[in-house]
Amino acid sequence: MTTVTSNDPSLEQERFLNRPSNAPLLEIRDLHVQFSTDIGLVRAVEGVSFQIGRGEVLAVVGESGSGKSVTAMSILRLIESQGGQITKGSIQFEGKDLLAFDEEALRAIRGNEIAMIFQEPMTSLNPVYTVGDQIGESLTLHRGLAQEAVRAEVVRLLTLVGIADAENRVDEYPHQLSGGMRQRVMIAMALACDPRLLIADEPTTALDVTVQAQILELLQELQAKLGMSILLITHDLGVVASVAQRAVVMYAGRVVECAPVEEIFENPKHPYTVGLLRSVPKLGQLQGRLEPIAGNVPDALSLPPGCRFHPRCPFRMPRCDQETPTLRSFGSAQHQAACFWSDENPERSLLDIHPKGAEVST
Amino acid sequence: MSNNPQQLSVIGTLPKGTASDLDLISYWESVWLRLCRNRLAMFGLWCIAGLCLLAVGAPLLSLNQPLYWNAGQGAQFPWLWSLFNRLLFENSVDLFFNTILVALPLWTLGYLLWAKKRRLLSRKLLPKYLMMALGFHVALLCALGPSRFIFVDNPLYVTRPVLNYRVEEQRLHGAGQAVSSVFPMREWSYRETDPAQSVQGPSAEHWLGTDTEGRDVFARMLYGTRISLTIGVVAVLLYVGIGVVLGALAGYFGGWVDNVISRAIEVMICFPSFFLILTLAALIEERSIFHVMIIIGVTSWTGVARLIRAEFLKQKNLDYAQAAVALGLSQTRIIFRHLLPNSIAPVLVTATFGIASAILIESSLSFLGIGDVTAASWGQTLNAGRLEQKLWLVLAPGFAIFFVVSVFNLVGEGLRDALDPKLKS
Repeated sequence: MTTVTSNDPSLEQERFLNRPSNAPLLEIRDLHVQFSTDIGLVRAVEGVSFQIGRGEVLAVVGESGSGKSVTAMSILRLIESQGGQITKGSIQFEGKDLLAFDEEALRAIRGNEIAMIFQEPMTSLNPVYTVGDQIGESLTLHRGLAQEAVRAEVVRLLTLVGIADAENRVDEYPHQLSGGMRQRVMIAMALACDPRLLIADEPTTALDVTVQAQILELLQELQAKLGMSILLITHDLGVVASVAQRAVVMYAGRVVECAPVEEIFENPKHPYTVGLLRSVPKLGQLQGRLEPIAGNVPDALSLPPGCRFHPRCPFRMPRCDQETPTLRSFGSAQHQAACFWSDENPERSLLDIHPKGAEVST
Repeated sequence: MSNNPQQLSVIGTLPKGTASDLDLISYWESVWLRLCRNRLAMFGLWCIAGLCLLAVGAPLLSLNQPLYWNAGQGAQFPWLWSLFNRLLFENSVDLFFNTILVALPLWTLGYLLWAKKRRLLSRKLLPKYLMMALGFHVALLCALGPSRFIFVDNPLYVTRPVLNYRVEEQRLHGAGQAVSSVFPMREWSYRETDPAQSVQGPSAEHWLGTDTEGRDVFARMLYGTRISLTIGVVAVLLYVGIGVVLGALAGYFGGWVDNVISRAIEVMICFPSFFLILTLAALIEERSIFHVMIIIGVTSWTGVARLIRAEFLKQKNLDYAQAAVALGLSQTRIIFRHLLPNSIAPVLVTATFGIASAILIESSLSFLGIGDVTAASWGQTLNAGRLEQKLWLVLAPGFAIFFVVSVFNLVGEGLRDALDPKLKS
């Protein structure tokens, strides 16, 4: 940051704080992804920007259809094989723009520097190969290991992800493993080449609660041990609280709030974040009912004008369906939200105002 | 099969997610075990094995060359050398089977040594070894050049004057000379013509009678097995190869690739296939059995292509395919190593049925007189029977065709049930 010409100290500070360890590992800027379907153009992601620092765990939170998975898939350009088109924006990984890469350069990054684990451990492994074959494949491909070295390395990886009796498990087929085991195998596959960024797309959604906790614990442990960054896609705020350092809240293809996890939980600045928090049961708080967010995620073909959340928002103001709010800082530069109500009442906490009785349009 | 019956009865239902020894089998092993339970399919498999043995061992069963011959001028072994004689075995298919017959003792020895080295004499190794040996054999023959295709003289394939030892023996006996000889079970070559003996009924001399040219029908049936099996396997391999590649490309890439291939498939389907084959066969002047295989191969790939395309459309959207992309694997690898093994099961079933239908097509072509005249095809004998209005000339090849086709269909049906246990329940 020696060449900063601006004299505005707050701007410099903002820049600094926005980048947890100076240069971010991954920086997504103004990403636009759309799908051309028979019934029209679906704008799945519009203008999403965020960054992940080295060794940081960032959670992307949102309901189904908020565009969080599409964003994740865009990083490795997997979205293109699903019919998606990245129309605008840039994805910088260690200063290189992944969107400018050709297929071959992408293959060198995929699985090697950026690895991904998927939601469904039941179907994410190829049923016809043994666990060892599948993990070994990327070892031979990216690291060029010889046959004997591969087996030893696979056993080491399986032990690393907490699979007991790894020596024998190597030769087993996916159908012989439980869901939690398979997810561990997926993680071992992802870790095979020591990636700098691990994208975990709802890694615990398909697992039962106790196994979920184990897998999350494992991810945290591995992150601490190996020092990689993790991009955690989830709709589960409990997961966010236990694992992530920062969270990005997405709604209908846009980022609505982006803040350190404590801020998200203690001082949310977007009504949607509040809605998410209120709809999660808390242990020890037995009284009272859960308060779901009224209404549904808007249809991607007919998105509401202005703030996309306004039809469901209890804090709606007249300008909300006219103008689109942009991300603005609250308190520190790290805490950003896009909400007109918070803009006008920056000191008031949304959590203190009970939305009951507030008008909610359908 | 000597599998534990108790084990098999549990495998039939294949409980999911239960931890036991039963889980320690791969998908193909479980398919194999289910196939083993199907008695009809196993009967079919044993029959096919028997047919293969007949095809390989045909010269041991019927040939006019003695295994051992001594007419006072020392021991001779004409049988062994005649196996590579172009005048006795005009067709390259025969050369292929004859070399296998000669190499069989070597293979067995190799297998025993190999299995001993691995300290495993298990059944599991046998299929692998058979594949290796067959692959090596075909590669060797291809390297030496099949006659007619590559204009290099195959050193294994010689042209030498043939002495009809059966006639010679009779002549020497007539002259009062002592001859010691060991002949194969029957003493007829499938090419040996005898106008004086034309269209004879079954007798002790000719078990199944003779055809219009006085050739022994039994020998022709025997050597016809070789032709039928080769036609079936090669034609099917050819069209499965074409179909798998085209179907995989169409299914995986979609878009204009899919459009082009799908339209090509539709155009091919529009032609009534047998008439197309007939026309193509009629266009070739000097038809060899390989032309027939190629013609069947290039006209029948549409079914396989459509199956594989549909299967790929399904498989490529499954998570493991996405995961493979995310791991940075190349497209070729994803298509052939990850998607194909998961899509091949239905093709196996069609391929088995396809062998039966390819045999039928070849017989039909020969019956109509546009097959390979040098091959001892069953269809030819059938045609002779029709022309001569002789029942035994119709029954023998008719039964042979019926038997082989049903046996392959039995195995195909068994395979279909084994691959999809849901179908049955």
